[in-house]
Amino acid sequence: MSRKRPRPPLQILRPPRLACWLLGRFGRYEKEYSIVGDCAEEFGELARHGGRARALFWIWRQALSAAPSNIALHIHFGGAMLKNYLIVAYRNFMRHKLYSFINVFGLAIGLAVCLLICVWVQRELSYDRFHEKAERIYRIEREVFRENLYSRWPIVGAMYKQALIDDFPEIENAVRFYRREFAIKDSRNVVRVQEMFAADNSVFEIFDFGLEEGDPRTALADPGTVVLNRKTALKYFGTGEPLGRSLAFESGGNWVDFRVTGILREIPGNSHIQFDMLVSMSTFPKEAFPDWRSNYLYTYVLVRPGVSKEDLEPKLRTFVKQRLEPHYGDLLRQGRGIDEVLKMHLFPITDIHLHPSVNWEVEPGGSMASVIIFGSIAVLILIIAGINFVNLSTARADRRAREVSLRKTVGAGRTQLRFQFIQESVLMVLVSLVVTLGMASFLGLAFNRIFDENFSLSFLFQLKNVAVLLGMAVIVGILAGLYPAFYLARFEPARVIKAARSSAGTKSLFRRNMVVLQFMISTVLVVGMLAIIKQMRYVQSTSLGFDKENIVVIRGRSRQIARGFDAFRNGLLSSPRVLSVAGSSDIPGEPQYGNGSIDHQPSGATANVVFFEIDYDYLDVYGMRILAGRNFSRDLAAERNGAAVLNEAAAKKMGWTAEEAVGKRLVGGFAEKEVLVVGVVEDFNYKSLREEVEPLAMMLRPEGILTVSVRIRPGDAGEALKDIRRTWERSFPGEQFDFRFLDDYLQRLYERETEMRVLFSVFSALSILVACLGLFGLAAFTAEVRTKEIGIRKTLGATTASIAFLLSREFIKWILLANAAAWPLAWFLTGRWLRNFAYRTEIGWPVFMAAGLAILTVAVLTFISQAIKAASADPVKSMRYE
Amino acid sequence: MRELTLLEQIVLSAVWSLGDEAYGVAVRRKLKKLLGKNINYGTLYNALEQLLRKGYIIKAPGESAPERVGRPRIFYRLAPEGKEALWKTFELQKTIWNNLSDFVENYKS
Repeated sequence: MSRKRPRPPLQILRPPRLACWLLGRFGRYEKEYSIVGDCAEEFGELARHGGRARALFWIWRQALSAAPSNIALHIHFGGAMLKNYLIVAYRNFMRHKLYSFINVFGLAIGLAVCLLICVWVQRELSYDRFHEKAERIYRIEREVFRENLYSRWPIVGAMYKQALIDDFPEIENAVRFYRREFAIKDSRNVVRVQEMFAADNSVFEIFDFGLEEGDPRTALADPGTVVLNRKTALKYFGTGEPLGRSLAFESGGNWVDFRVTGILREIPGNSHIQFDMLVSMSTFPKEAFPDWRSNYLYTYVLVRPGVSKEDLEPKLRTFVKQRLEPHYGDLLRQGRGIDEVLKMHLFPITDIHLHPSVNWEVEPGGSMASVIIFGSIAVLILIIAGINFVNLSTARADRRAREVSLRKTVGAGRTQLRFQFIQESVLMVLVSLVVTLGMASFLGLAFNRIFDENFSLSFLFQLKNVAVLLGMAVIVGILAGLYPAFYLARFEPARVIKAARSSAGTKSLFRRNMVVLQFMISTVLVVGMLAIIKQMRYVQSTSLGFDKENIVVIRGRSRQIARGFDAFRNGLLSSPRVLSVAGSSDIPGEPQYGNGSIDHQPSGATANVVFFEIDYDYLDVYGMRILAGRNFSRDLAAERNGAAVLNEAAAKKMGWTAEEAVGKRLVGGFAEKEVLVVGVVEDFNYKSLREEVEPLAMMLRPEGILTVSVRIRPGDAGEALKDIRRTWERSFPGEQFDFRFLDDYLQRLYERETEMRVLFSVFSALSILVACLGLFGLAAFTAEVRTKEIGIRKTLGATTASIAFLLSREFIKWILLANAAAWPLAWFLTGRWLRNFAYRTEIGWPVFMAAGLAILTVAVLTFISQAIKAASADPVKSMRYE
Repeated sequence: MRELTLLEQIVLSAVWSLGDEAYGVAVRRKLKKLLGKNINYGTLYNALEQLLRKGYIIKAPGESAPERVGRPRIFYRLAPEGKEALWKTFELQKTIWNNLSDFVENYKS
């Protein structure tokens, strides 16, 4: 304001703005006596005569010396009022127990869900951040683009590590993890198969995993050294001191002693890589990793401080060009540059958990989408609970109208009143918070159940989390209290006192919209739940192109399986409970290892395909449908030299029908030799239903067998398993019997969806519960307000039913409206989610109808009791009401 | 007559003596001259407020000025009751000191 004035000729020395502002704070002094003006004038004079410094000193003293007493006054009067507000809030709370209960309970549920999800989200986001150097650690990953097959490879060859360190001064250190399994004999000669990683000693320099005992500088330096955690040490050594003792590892049929050089500290649960035991990488000679293209090691690099991913990643191209290109000749066949087909990435370790690779990931990992979905659900349920508070406060506003009028009459301003009501709602939320924390033990249980986590409640009560919770409660309280506060503070004393009763209670567009919003959210959640359930049912019931029931798969670990397979098979087939046995390199549901291209020389047709290596019985065991041609035949010796069965997609990719494909000679596969197509099978889903069926070539190659599939007679799985195990142990001594039922195994592909289904069910139920609580409150209130009207109607001959309907009509309309509003949104969102699946169910109108009907039913049940109670009241009493 | 504190008496006298020029800064300067020490504005306004409430002075906002960052000067004038009160104060003081003439004459010696 003062800035707009024209500048006066005389130079005027202005006092500091902050000092002026402080002086102006002193309420009536500025208004009544113009303190700022006086001080400014004197400041100007002082500055001219005594110097600017003195003037500044003077005005600050003026501003500050008055401050303490002013603040004290504010606090004194504020405190007195606060006490009054608290008393009034308490009385209101106790007088209207039903409404208080609805508010507190609803908010408590909302907060509980929020809390649960916040804890979960916090944990999801915290993965791998406990490493001191986390920001500088990256995993080396590659992306391979074939024309129709894209794959992300978080694993690389063993030679990358040293080459990377040699080529890039930006890389300070690197470590490799090599997943291994060893049979270990403990002190009592019990043999166990132990999963572990082989790792370079630099693991302790890069990560913060650390040793409880032992020297981290040398623990894994020498061959044949091992470090393990306490729990595992207990398993092998009992309570004795493990450090310095040795463990017998099975290696190539011999028992080799490994020296224990350290005790690992417990690995935090939020590490993407988990292990009980590490052996030194140097145990494996260089010769064990001869090939650049063999991929089996997770390799992490530590970059030097100040080096960014953006800087270093482009430089990896030269690495690809110089080191890798010579080994990837086959990828370049269509005249593409290596840059187009093979990319190397630095993947930040803190991102691994939420953006895991589909194949070859260390542990299953989480997903960013889930974090976002559940984060939104938490907020939505809190909104529903907040709306209850808003609606019930405004609906009952006329109960408070007299209080407001009286306060205004004796001089309360709107700001003061607003503060009072916001404070009241914050208080309500804080009470709910106490209830929420009371639920905490139950919550913790639910949490561990749902997320399969190990959480102790102490996590909730850490100072930081308590502060966050309180902050959250205050924010929710302020947001929920905002509308009621403004609404209530608006009452005009004169009108309220004149009118015996304001009409504030019954009709309000705002309130209707809020209820509609609540039920809209509930409807969306219910539709979401139904969509997930329906898709999961589809996933389970849809035909995959093979018969997944009654198949036991056993994963072998060594080439021993291929060598002894025939004997094993014959042994098994003698069991009456076994129908057929097949061996293969791959089974449906597992990440597929081999891919490459097949070519048809005369025509030049080519396709990138996934390769399976199978034996004669594979198609049989899985019950695949042959569209054209036939299965492999043991009688035709020539087939041993190269025969393949394609799937329909592969034939199509080559430009053939199934019939045309049969008899064609192709070049491709691992051996790069000629193979004859003997048959084409119908497409079957060997990956999850999220993905389209890719072209597939199944080669006859019994040497490649690593996995055994056994079809058993239905109904006697237990006995059949015993037979299989006996035969297995006889045929492959020392090989672990690692079996699964194929249908269980396939079900695991949808773990995330299964978890989501549980959570959606819980959350949609909770959202309906909270919304219905509010509805119940509103119904009770409406019935109360209309007591007299109902009395009159009854006297004039209305039936109980007609009155109950009259009272319910409005609510039913609201819920139908909410449904209508929710459907397009739900349709859009479920559609988005379903697009994750290449094979998906339709979410048609029955799903929406079912959701709507379910919610309507629950809602009607909620308010009908109130409506009937009001409608069946004695009219005489009703007329006397008030 | 309502009792006046000493400060109120002095402020009342200062306002009277400043005539048409009695506003915040001027009053404070006058007080400084009379008392030989600085008075905070808070103290001054409190005294002025008491005088206003008792109806001894009248307040009139004047024009704003650029050296006052746009704030108006507030001028004070003695109300008839104020003149009366100032006179009564004078008489009271006179009575007090007349009764103590012994003290006044003998203090220095």
